[in-house]
Amino acid sequence: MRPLRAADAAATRLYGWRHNPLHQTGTVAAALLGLLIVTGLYLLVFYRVGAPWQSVQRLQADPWLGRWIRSLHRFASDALVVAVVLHAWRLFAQARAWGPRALAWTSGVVLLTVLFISGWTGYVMVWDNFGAQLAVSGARLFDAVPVLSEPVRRIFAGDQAVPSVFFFLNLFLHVALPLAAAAGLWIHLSRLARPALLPPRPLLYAICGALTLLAIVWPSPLAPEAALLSISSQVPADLFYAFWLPWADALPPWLAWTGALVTFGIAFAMPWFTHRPRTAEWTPSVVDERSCTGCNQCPQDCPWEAITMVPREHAHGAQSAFVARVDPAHCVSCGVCAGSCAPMGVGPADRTGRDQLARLRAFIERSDTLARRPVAICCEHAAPAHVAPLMEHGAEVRLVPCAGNLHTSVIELSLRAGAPGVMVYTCAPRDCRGREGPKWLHERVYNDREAELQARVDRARVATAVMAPGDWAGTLAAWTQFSAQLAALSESATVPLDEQLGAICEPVPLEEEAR
Amino acid sequence: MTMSWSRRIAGLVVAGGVLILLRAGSLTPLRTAPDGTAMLRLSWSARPERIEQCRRLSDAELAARPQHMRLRWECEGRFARYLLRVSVDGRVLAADTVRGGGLRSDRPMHVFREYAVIPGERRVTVSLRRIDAEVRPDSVADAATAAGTGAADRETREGQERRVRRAEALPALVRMDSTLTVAAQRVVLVTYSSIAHRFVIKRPAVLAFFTTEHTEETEGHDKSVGVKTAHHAKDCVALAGPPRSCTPLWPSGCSPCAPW
Repeated sequence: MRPLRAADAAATRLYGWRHNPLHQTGTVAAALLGLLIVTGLYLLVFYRVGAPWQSVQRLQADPWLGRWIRSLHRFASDALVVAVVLHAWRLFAQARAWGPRALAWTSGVVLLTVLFISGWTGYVMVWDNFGAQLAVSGARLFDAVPVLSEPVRRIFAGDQAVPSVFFFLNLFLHVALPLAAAAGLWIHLSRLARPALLPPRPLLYAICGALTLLAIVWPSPLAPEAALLSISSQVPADLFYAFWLPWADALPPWLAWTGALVTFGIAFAMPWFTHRPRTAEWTPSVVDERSCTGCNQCPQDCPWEAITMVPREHAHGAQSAFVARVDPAHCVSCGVCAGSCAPMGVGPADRTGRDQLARLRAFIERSDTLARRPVAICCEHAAPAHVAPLMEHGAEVRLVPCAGNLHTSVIELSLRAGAPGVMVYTCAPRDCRGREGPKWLHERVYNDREAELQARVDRARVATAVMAPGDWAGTLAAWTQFSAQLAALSESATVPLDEQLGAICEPVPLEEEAR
Repeated sequence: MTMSWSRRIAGLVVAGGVLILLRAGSLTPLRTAPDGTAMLRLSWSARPERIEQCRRLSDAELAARPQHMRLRWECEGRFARYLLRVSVDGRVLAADTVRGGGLRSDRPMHVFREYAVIPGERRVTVSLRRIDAEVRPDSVADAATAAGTGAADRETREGQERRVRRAEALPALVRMDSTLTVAAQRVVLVTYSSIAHRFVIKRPAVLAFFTTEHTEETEGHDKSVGVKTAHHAKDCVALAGPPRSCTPLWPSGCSPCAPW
């Protein structure tokens, strides 16, 4: 986690949190896949299975389009591997690879495998000495599996030309596997309510532009045609795809297979190795059916489609006909539902709106600091290193697991308790562990989304900002500006204590309801 | 977050560095074989000889069978195993039993072997000798005719099929003993011609090696006449097509620049 946070901070310093590529490795990977498909379609038009290397050579000889599109295809495929590996590392380090996210992880491992196979077929298609080396080494491994009686390596013995049908099969796989990957991508994202597929446009254009520039300025050369009766002492290898080549050639096939299968097995089974008990911060949300009004807001806000509305079993009185129900198998315990529920009837244990209010009340009772200092409510995952300096700048810091989990009544109660203002610091929107915390918070504070911050609350005393590692200047600037804004406001503008607050924010005592 | 110019430049430098690393990783020279190596490669597919015991069915036996199962000759047996022996300069690299593919070993025999050899003049010997002895020559079945029976055509066809299969099968012994000059970074490919029933050294696309002495031996191919044939040759064979330019690699008297 520490190296990831350091890398995040460095990338934020360089590119800002809006365009930090490490925050959106998944969408960058999807964008690169799109780029590969577009460039691949162009290359496909010129490829000939009867003369593979010669057709690529003709492409390479075209300085206007062919050469750089081929290079762009190659570099984009390498960047895709980097993006996918970073994506996996990020999710693993952030403990987002188990439980309800296990399907995304395991399908991601399969997708990465498909990507590698697709890449290998792509290099073999060219049939230069690197492609031939990949094919021969792959055939050597394949021959160790007792499936075919005739060794596959006989195709590459050199006594006759490699048949066109081999290149046709290769081409078919190279085209079909990305289609399979598209289906796999659907499974990969199936548990997300509103998956983001592309990075922000500036970042998208920057990545595509940079790769295109590299392809034009420094294109990939075409290696000599494969000569099966010659031994190349070295080949220009793509290590992103052929990292296994030195080992596979040095090890006995059974050992290479064992290594590959064990690696795949460990990667695939990672969610089971890293599984944690569903308690404390990992406990799934529960619905208090007595409080649920059937408003259908929490299913809309849940980023994981873990909540559905079902008919209430024993409706009586004014209770709604439908009630929310959480599927624990899908719930990642982000707590976004707690922030969406006006009557505070849903959320993970100890993180519902009622729990948040109760904790704040207890704090108000034992301390008067809230009445003297502006409050900074910070997402605890955003930038822990910024908390202490923020306190030194006069903030009364309170942490929440996710900005989306914060119930707006907490903001109101803080102001009613005398706080001059409340600043909510969220994580970078594309780096939110609850996926949509900053978005929903903004909607609830400024755009009347349920459970909205009441209109009676003076918006001049409320602000939201992003707190990202590596951007202390941004955190401090937002705080300084907010403090100046508060100083400009007169004390008389403070929201008057509303006697109805208890009725709005307090849960109905259970005994009372029972009567 | 407003970006200062220094950060923008630093961002561009880092992005440029990442692109350079990406390209370097994409085109890394990978050492796949040490310099100065050469390889002897054996690669062929051939149908092993069938060792079988045949019995001619009588007319009565034939009539008792369903129409579609009336084969005059009933044969039982298996496919022969062979001893593959490879040596270079007298050093035995392999002496293995090889058999037909498939669980019942009734598929063609596929051989693919590679041996690293030191470049230079090497005496390469490859032999494939049948291990299993014939139970009984079935040339009787091959030559049989069914004169006077109602199934004459069928029996003739059976004989023909048997002869074709036998002609396609590996002989009892195929042997090659050749002295080659093997060039570095080249592969010497020995394959088997199922038409000529002998080992063939394939020519590489570019000048790789040449044969200075070559001996072949094939035994027991045509069992109907039972002859042993041996072929000895000492010649100067250019194993490459006419090179683009004359090179001093060729010994005197073997110049590829001379008319072929």
